Amino acid sequence: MPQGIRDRVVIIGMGCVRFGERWDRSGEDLLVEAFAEALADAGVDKSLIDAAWLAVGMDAVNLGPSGIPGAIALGLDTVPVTKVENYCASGTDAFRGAVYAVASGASDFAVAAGVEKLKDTGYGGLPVRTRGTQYDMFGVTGSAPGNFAQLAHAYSARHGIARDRLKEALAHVSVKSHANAQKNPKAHLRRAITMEDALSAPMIADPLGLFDCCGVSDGAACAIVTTPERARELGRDRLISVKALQLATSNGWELARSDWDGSYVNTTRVAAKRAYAEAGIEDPAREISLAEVHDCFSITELVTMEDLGFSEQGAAVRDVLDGAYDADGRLPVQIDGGLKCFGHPIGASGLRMLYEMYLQLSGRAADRQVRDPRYGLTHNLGGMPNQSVAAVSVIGVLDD
Amino acid sequence: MGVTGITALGAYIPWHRISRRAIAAQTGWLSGAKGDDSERSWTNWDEDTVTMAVEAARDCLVEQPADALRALTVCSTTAPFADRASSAILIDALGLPTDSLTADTGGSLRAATSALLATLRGNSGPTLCVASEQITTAIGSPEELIFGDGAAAALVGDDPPVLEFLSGATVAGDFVDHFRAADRRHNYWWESRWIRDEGIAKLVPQAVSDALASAGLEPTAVDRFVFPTPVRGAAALAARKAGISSHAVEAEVTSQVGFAGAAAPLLDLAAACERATPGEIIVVAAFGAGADALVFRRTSEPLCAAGHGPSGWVPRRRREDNYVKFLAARGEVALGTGMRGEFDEKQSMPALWRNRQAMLGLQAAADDKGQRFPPAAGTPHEASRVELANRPATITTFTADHLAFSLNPPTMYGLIDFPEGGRMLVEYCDTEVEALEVGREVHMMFRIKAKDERRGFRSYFWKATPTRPSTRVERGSSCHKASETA
Repeated sequence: MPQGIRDRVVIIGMGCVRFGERWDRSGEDLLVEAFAEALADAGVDKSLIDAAWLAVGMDAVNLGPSGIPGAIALGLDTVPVTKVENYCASGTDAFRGAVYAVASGASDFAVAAGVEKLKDTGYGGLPVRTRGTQYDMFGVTGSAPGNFAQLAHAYSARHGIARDRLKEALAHVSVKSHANAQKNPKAHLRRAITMEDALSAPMIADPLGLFDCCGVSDGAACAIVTTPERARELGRDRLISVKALQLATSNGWELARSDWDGSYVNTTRVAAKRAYAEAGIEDPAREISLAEVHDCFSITELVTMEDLGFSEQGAAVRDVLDGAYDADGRLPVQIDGGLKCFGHPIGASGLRMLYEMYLQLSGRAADRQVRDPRYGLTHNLGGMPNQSVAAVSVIGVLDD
Repeated sequence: MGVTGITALGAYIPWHRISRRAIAAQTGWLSGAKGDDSERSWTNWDEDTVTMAVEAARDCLVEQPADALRALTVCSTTAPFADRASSAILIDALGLPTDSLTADTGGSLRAATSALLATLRGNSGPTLCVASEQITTAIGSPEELIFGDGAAAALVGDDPPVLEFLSGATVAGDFVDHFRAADRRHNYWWESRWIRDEGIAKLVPQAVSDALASAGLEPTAVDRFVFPTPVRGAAALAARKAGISSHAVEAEVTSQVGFAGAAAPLLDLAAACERATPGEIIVVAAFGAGADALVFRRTSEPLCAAGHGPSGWVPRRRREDNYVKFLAARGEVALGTGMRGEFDEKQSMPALWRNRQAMLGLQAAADDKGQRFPPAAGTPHEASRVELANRPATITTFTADHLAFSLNPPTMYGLIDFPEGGRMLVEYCDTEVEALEVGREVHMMFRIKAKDERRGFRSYFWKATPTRPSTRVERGSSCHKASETA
C-alpha cells in the first residue's frame, strides 16, 4: 500500500471567478482573474510559484493545446506548465499534479488552475467533438445528457423504481441545488425553481428534462498548494489539508463485458474506496460533513450518493426525497449550487468544488456556511458512465 | 451440376411509409394530384441502396450456406457511389467469400432482370443477385407518388430450386422513356401514352413471346405475369398483347409500397413465389432500354428462407406522413440543422479498412473470457472471430436524445448485450422510444453510420431495432425454423 498524500500538502490560496456567460472575458482573462484571487489569498508572490498544472477540457474553444497559452496569460517565468485534459475530471487531475509535485519535494509552491470558455461555442450544451478515430467509428454521436440519461433507465430497471418516482427525486435534486445557489454570488444560475418547473421542463434526453442538466458556463478556478511546513513559515495556522486524492479510470470493463448493468458508475465506487482508505475514513455517510459531487445531471448526483456510500444501494431516491442532502440535511450536497447552478466550465469544475470546500473548512462560506465541517469530499467525473474517469478528494483541517 | 434456377429469395422494404394523400396535400396545388390512402415506402436518412441490399441479401441467405457463393452482383440505378463498389461492401458486411466475383450493374430499370438472366444462362456457380433502388424524385412530380424504395435478392445455384428456370429472352434498344444524366438527381420522363403504346406494349410482349417460345409454352400456360411498371395500365396491355390472361397480371409489392425501379421485378417475383403453388408458371418482365422476360416454374421445394420475405416486410411499417421529413431524408430539401449539424464526419480510410471485420461484418473477438466487441486493442488479426449480426440481443440501457443532431430526432441509443456473449454500444433504428425498455430483445440492421457531406462519403455500421413478430407467409415451408428473427 503506497504511503499516499494524506496531510502532506495544504492549500494556502484559492481563487474562483463568477461562473456564467462571461461574454466580455476570454478564457485567458478568466484564468488571470482566478489566479490573482488565489495569489492574494495565499499571500505569496508570483515569483515563488515553481510549477503549474493547467486543466483545459476543450481545446478548440479554449486556450488551445499545450501549457504555453496559460503560462503566457499568467506571466509565469519559464516554470514547468503542464496542460491536463481528462474530460470533466481535468480540474481535479490538475490539482493532483500540483499536490503530487509538492508531496514529492519537487515543488515548493505549485499551482493548479482550470478554465473553460464554453460560451464562445455558439450553441447550448457542450460542443460536438471527436473522441478519437477508434471511438468515433464504433461509438454514437450522441450528447452528454444522452450518455447520462441511460443511467436513469438502468437504475429504474435494477431497483424497480417507477419512472414518476425517479423523476420526482431527480426534480428534488435540482430544486435543492437552485435553492442553494441563491446564496452564492459567484453562481451562474441563481433563480429558485419549483418541483413543477423541473417536472414540466422540455425533454432533453429521455428521461432528463432541461432542469436535470447542469449549467454550461464560462469560468476559471485556481489553487495554490504547498507543504504544511512552508505554510507555517508564512505564518498560516488553520491549514486546509489534502486528506485523500484518488483517481480511477475505466479499464474498458463496462463496455466489454455484460456484468455491468449500467445503473451506477464503477470508477466512482473505486476512487471513493481508495480515498476513504487514504483518509482513514470508515463510515463516509457519518464522517463526511459535506460534499460537492459531479452533478452534471440530476441522475448522476442521485447514483453518486450510492456510489460514494452515502446512501444504501437502491435507497438514494428515498434519501433524496427525505431531504438528506439538502442544505439542512444530514449531509449537505452541492451547498454552493453544484455544477447544476454554480455552473460547469469543464476544466475549472474540479477546482471549483475544492474552492467551496476550502471556504467551508476555513469558515469563510458566508451565508451558506455549514457548521463545524470536518471532512469535505469532492467528486469530479469525466467521460460517461460506461467509460469514465472519477476523481475523489477528501479535504480537512490539518490536525496539529 | 449446372445452375437450375433460383434457390432462395429475399426482400427488404424500409419501415417508413407516407400516404399519397399526404404528399398530394402539399404538392396538389401544383400537380393537381389528390392522392389517396395508399402508401409508398421511403428510406430513412441512414439508408441507401447499399444498406437495403445488405438487408435483402440477409433475408435471402439466412438459412443458406454463404461460403459456397461464387459470385455477387448488385444492381441499382441509384447506388450512392459512382466509384465504390456496393458489391464489395456486401462481401464484407455479409461475410461472403472474398474470392467471389463481384459486379455492380445499373444503366436501366431492367438491370436486375438482365443480371439474373445472365447468371441463369451462365455457369459460374452459386451467385447472389441483389437489386436495390432508392429513386429520388422531384417535388410535386408524378413519380414522387408512384415510386417507392426497396430491395430484393435472388440466390441462383445448383441446389434444388424453388423457381426452376425454363427460359429467358431480351430485347435491347435505346427507347428513352426517361433518362437521368450522370450529374442530375431526378429522372426526366416522356409522355406516358407513348411509353405505354410504343414502348412497353411492343417490346415487353416481344421478349415474353420469345421466352415462352424458347420454353415451349403457350401464353395461356402463364399463371403469374409479374411485371411492375410505373405506367398505369401498361402491364395489362403488355399481357394482352402477349396473349397472357389479364388475371395473371400481378405486381404485389409494387401495389403496396410503390415502384422500386430495378428492384421491383425481383421484389414482385419474390412475392409471387411466396404465393405460387408447385407447378405454376411465372413470367417476370422488366422494361427499360428494351425489355427482359424470364420464365420459371415453381417447384415443390419449400421456400427455405427464415427471413421476412415480402409478406413479412410489407406489413412491418410505420406511417410517417410528414412530407418535409420525407423530403429531408432524401436530401430534397436543405434544412437549417443548427451548429450541431456542422460536425465534420470525415472518415479515415486506413481505420475503416483495419476495422472492416468489426464495422461491416460485426465480428467480435472471442477469447477465454467471452466475446468482445469491438475487439480489444492488441487483438491479433488471427484471433478467432464471432459474427454477431444474426444473433438477437437485449437492451441494457437506452435513451432518446433530443440534443444530439439527427435528421430523425430523437437519436436513440444505448447498450445491448448478446446472450451468448458480447456487448455493444448501439444506435436504435426503426423504433419509437416507447418500444425501448431494459431487457427487450433487439436484432441488428445494417445502416449508414456517418455521412461526410463535405466530401461525399459515408460509412456503414450496424444498428439495433426491437424484434417484432414476423408476418411472413409460410407456404410449403417445412424447412422453416420459427421465423422470429425480426
